[in-house]
Amino acid sequence: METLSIEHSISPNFTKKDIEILKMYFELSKKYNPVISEALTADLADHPLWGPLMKQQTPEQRKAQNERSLAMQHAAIYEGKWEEYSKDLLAQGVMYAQMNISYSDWYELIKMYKDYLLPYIKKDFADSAEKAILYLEGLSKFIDFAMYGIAEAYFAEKNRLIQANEERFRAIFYNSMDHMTLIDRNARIILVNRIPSHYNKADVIGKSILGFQTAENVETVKKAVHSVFEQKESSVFDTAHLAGENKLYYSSSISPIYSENGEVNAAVIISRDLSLQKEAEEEVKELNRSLEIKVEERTKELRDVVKELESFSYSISHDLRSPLRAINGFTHILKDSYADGNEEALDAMDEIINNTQRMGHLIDDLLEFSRLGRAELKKVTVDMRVLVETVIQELTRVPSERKIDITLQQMEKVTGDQNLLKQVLVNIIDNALKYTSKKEHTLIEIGSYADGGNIICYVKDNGAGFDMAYYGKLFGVFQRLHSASEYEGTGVGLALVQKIITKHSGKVWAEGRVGMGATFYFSLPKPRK
Amino acid sequence: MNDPIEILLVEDNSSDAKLTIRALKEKNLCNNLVHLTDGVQALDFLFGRGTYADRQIENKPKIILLDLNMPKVGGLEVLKEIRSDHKTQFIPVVVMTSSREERDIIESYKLGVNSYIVKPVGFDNFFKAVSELGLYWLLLNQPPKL
Repeated sequence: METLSIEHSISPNFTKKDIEILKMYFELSKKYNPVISEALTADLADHPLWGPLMKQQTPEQRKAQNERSLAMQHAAIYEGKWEEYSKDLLAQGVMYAQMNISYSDWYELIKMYKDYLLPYIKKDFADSAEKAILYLEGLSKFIDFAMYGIAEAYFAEKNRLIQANEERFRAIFYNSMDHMTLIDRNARIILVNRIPSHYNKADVIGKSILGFQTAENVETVKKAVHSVFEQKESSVFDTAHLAGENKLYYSSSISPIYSENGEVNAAVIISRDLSLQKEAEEEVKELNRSLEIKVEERTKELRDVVKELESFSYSISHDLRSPLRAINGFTHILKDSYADGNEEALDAMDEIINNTQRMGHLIDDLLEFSRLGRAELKKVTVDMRVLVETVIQELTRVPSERKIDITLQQMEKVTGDQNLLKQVLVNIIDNALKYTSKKEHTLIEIGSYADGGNIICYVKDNGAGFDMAYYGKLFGVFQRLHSASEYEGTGVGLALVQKIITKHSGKVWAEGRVGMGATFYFSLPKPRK
Repeated sequence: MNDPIEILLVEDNSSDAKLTIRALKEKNLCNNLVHLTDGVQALDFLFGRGTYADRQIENKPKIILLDLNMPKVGGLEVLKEIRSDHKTQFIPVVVMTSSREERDIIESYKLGVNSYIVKPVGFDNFFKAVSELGLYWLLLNQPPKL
């Protein structure tokens, strides 16, 4: 709680004679003060206002306070040191104001004190009415002085508090983003925090708020006003206001303002302008719309590109193969019908036939490669052991005179697309078989091991190997490290392997030495538990 | 033109047509073969329209070998019309194409093709494919009697 700094003190205009009778008052007060104070405290224990306040002090604290007060009074009356006591009075006034004790409540207390004191006066001054009168005069002079000091501070503090409240109210009321309108019982506007720009003050103050509503809202507002005054009920409602050509949208609440007697003589309507919110909503909608359009445009562009690519691979598939077929077919016809044992001609025609076939494979591989780029992965848990065994079986189905030993080590399960992974194994194991074809005894080892969240698979052979200097070309499309006459192939196989593994977020790598074999590795994610 | 038509070959690529005819000839399956080079001609021929207005359309081929990628009207459209007309709906149609595109294969079967053959580049395979399908459809297959 804020406190008033008491810079001034009140100084009494007591005459010498006044001081003499004040001394009389003081002596009696000092004598009976403890008794009266105790009696007063006991009687006020259940008082709605004073009771709780008195309970905040222990009897010892109360006694100490009394003694301090008496000491200050003594210093004032006997030594003329009024300053301290007057400051104490002012502080009391401030305290009562801040504790919301009314001045009359406090006056009541003084009267009670007087009533308690009277029997003692009667008793002590029974022999002298003159002394009694003097004493009472001293008492009233002292009380007048005390009341004056307390009243001075009390009202100053009350005023200050009211002003502070008023400032707080103004700060809230006039700075609010919302519209606040105070109305009376007849829905007339008493006060508004903001006059809309298209109105003058005179158009608003004293006018019924119903006049500012659109026709369809009048009933709603009427009902809300009625219930706030008659039932003292707050309510919430939406309204639209006419502002010239424009309709403004508000979300409003109405609440009663109680007077001291508990009646509702005024109400406050707080209205929030939804136009800004609506505008922002519109803006967001507009942004979304333009974003959607943009996304649609981009998607269409992409779709067009994909379509173009598709028709490109379609024409490769169709148009490039047709001439090859013709070359191949007619060469066959020539060979069968007209070569007549001419070795050179037969040899040349075989070359043509072989090359067209090779070109056919190239086209098929290229198509496969581009198709993979578009394929979606169907991820499942793949049992690599089963898959490897299947692939080996398929690749070695044709009987050959070669001596081939394939060792299958530990094979971990992985996550991936079964068909695509089979393609990977076919390509790598087929390579291993191909590049060991010139060895007397082919040795191939296939296995896998865990490495963090991945499984690393490897295929190791004892074949032709490769020169690590050309490692950069190993996985390129149509890149080959051996000539076709040495080992046939189109140079797409490993590129395809890399594409598939990359699509699985894995890696492919290899180690090799010329004539000493090669090991191909690829990593794949572990199956999710 | 009153001999019954055995084979209707619709193929715009003359090399492929020649090779096909040659393969069929080898097996003596080529006696009454009509070769047309686009979809419009094929439809005119089958339904007696345009240049074939005078043709007896009851004289239906025993089999139609149909290329897909042709000028004007493509093979799939021809197939669609054949299958949607009661006069031609039961004629066996074999699509012979260079296209391995999944969508072509699916679309062909959806439209009711009897076989879908991808023409191989190699002559041996091509020859084998053509002569086998000729044998099957002309000699072994029993079409419904209308």
